[in-house]
Amino acid sequence: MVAEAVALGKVYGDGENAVVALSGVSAVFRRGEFTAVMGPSGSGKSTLMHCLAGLDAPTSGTARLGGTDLGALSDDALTALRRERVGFVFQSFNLLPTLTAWENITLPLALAGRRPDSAWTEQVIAAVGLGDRLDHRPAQLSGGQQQRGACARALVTRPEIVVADEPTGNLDSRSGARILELLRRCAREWEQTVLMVTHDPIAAGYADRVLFLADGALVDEMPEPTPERVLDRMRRFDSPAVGR
Amino acid sequence: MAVRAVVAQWSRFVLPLVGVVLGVAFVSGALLYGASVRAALDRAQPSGIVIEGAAMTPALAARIAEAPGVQSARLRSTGRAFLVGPDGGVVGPPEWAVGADHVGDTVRGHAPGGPGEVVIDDQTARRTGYDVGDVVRVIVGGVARDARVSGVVAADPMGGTFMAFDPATAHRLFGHTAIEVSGAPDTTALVPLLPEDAYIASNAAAGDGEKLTAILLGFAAVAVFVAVFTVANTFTMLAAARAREHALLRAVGAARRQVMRGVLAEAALLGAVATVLGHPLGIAAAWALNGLFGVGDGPPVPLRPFTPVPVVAAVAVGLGVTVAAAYLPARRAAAVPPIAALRTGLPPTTASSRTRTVGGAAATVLGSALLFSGSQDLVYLGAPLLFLGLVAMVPLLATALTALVRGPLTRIAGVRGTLAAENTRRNPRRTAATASALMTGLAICAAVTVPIASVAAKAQRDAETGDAADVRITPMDFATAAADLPARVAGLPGARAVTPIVPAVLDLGDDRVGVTGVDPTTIARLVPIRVTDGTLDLRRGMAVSTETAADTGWRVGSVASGDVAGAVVSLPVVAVYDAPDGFHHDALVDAAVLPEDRTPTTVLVQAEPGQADALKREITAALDNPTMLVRTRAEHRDAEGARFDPFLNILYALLSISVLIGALGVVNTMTMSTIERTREIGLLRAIGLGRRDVVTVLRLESVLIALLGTLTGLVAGGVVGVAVVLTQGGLPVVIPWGRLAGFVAVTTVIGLLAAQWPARRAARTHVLTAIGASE
Repeated sequence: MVAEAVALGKVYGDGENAVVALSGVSAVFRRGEFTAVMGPSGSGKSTLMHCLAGLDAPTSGTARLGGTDLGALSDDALTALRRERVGFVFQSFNLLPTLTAWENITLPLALAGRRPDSAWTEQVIAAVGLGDRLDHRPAQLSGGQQQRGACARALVTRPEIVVADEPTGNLDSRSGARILELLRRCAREWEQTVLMVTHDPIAAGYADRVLFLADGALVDEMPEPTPERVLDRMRRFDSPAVGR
Repeated sequence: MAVRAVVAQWSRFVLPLVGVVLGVAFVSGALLYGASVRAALDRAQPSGIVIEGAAMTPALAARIAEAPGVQSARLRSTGRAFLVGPDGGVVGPPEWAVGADHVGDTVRGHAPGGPGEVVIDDQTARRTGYDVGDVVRVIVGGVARDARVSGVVAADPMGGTFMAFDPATAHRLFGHTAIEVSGAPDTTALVPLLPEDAYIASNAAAGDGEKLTAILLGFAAVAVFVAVFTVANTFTMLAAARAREHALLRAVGAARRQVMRGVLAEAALLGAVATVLGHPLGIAAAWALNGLFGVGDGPPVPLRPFTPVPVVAAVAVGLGVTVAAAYLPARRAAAVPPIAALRTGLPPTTASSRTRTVGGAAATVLGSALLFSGSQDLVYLGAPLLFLGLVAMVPLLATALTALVRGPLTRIAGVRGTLAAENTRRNPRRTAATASALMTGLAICAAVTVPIASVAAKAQRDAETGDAADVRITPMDFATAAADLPARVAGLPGARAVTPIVPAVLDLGDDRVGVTGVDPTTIARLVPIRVTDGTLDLRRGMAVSTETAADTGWRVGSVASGDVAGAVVSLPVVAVYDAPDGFHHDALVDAAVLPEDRTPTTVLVQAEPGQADALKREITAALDNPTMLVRTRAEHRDAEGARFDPFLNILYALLSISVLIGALGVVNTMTMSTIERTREIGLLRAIGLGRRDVVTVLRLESVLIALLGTLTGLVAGGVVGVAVVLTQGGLPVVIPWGRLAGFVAVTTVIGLLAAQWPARRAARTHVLTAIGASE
């Protein structure tokens, strides 16, 4: 087990304005497992990811990463944890415009003051296929290349978990497929734990399992998903009783 | 709409507003203080007519008294008189220490009844605690004596230290110096009555008030110039931040002119607020200056803050300058194509334009050529040209310099250094505009500091090499030495050799030669003179320097005949000599041949070996006269080097306002940049940049901008300063590295402080909020 959510709850605001984002979500993420989290807008899927990645603090329950209780960590310790033990891929704006692709990819190592492990870094860069683009700035890269750069950056520290927030949301289907294949490959070949939030059934189809969230609660889990089955499951959220 | 836009974004307008407010306050303050000084100087003028000059005689007074319209013409005797305070120092500013013959009434006590009595003014009495009956020490003509205070008179409105003596004593001390005319005569009718060297005293000092206003306005102009950069930069940054808003306006049908007018209306509003805040601040500043640095040292003249000129100037600077500074950014804002409303992402940053760089380089080269052409007039043309050329080139320099420091910074601060260097160069124009604001003040600092340092170094070197005196005595400014000073010092047991230095001019009719009176028996021991021809026996005649010999054609054996202060003399040339640079006198004579009223400006003394400090103490005690400065060789050297420090300090104080406005510009730019980059900072925080690292990156960036401005400014100013020094033949070029390093240190601190607020804000923003922030 790499990461764990135990009765995780998150409430924004207080009193009458309180909004419940998560209400008691428990889940376990195993090593080398590629998990997709799905659910309608506002279901709490991003909040769950943020809490597990040390970006947000739950108001109740516990988030653990490799045995560390994130709730017990100071801001500095959380920063170090994100730098060393978590890899991030966001939907957009993943790379710093002022740095080259190489500098962006090795940024977490530079932040930690570490020298890149050259064999591993080369392997990652080869996997994302950016070997001939390392001197380019993000503005000179395509959207797909930028996201692959972000994946490489997420992998370069060999984190305990890679979290990806709608990593294909801004891409055409071919570029998106390349990202998803990459994520699946690192889970299978490198035993990299991956947690991906998405609303795209095709993207979810690449995962080993799908968690379904609705109104801040875990409502279903689907092992060995296919796009058709995920789509089918998602349609049930669209019924007037649950959808929004 | 403009009001709403400004109110909605008030935080972005605060810093440029402060900049303009300071500029307006500086202009208003300069005008008001200048006017007050002028009024004070006008008030200081005597109400009646005063005739001054060399030939004030009872006969002249009698002739004037008979002129039509004259009621009375009275001879007056006035001059410098210093009062020694209870602390042993001179009371009040020496330039306002005046002695005169007693006329009029006393407020208490009685008029001075003889040479042992004196009357003082009531302000001085209050200041010193002296009163009727006290015995005080009075210094006139370098001679200190005791006198009993017999009475107190009303203080002059100009203030100062006033002492009055009985008319006979005053006449003995000062001679007759003026004729006071009462009544209402036609002054043009008086002029023919006056001898050649007498004149009707005019308001000569009023010109000083005008000059002061002009100087202050010059520095105010620099401050306003710097504020222009800040305002223009703000509107440029706002235009970038609101490009999509403007594009949307254009897309829904707003004309370019309407968008532009909207931006200019915001500028006008900002300017109006700046005027309303700046003028009162200027009034306060003038009021404070008036209190601190009044004319004379009397009570200040009240300010008249709402006269038309300062008010109009405040509006013109506040409103006019702000709108003018916003004009170009407004035009650029209006030029946004409507389609930009639909685009995503930040608008591309503009690189330094080629025309600007080429033009700047041309101006820089031409400016430097003019500076080093050797002509003093061309320096005044070359300096601004060089400066403007460099300002145009700063974007290029920003790109080049940051590329240069990227490597070293990365080595020192790791990836934080890389990020800071890259951030500085991502928008070279913005960096340049911010740096230029700081550059302006520092360029002027350097341009003045280098020549002053060179002059000071020369003065110091002259002080070291000019003579071999162990101790020297010089009257402080506005004071004179007594004629018997050399003799008194020579009588002290510790003094081995003494010579006075008594300046005089030998008028040859068609030419004038400075003749310096010295002691013939000791001069060769106190000044390292090398005689090239003849023998240095000044008792038999005059020694001339080789330069003078070359100019006049005199040789040993020639006889120079002429007039020294009215006395005809005939002096044979007995020697031609070379003296060190620091001892620049045309010719040396025996001080005894000069008229008695010539007093020494310096007395050089040689001590027993190693006894200089003891001799200094001995002389100080013997003279007991605070107007005589007794200095050892080292003290003299230091005093010579520090002579220009007060001037430099005033200059720095005046320029500090400009530097402050420039510093606000750095804060402004840093604030706007961090707001623009909120998402980027959020991303960095997410992937592991600590809060303190965020602060470090922004601090480094801020310091880089500040240093860019400082270094370009110091180089520009330094080049101008060196050019100025080179036009003055014989001056060594001295670069005051220490002071320049001090400037760099100050601006580094400014850079650090400027990042403080934006960096803390950025570090505090929650990662998720930052990532979610709209572009």
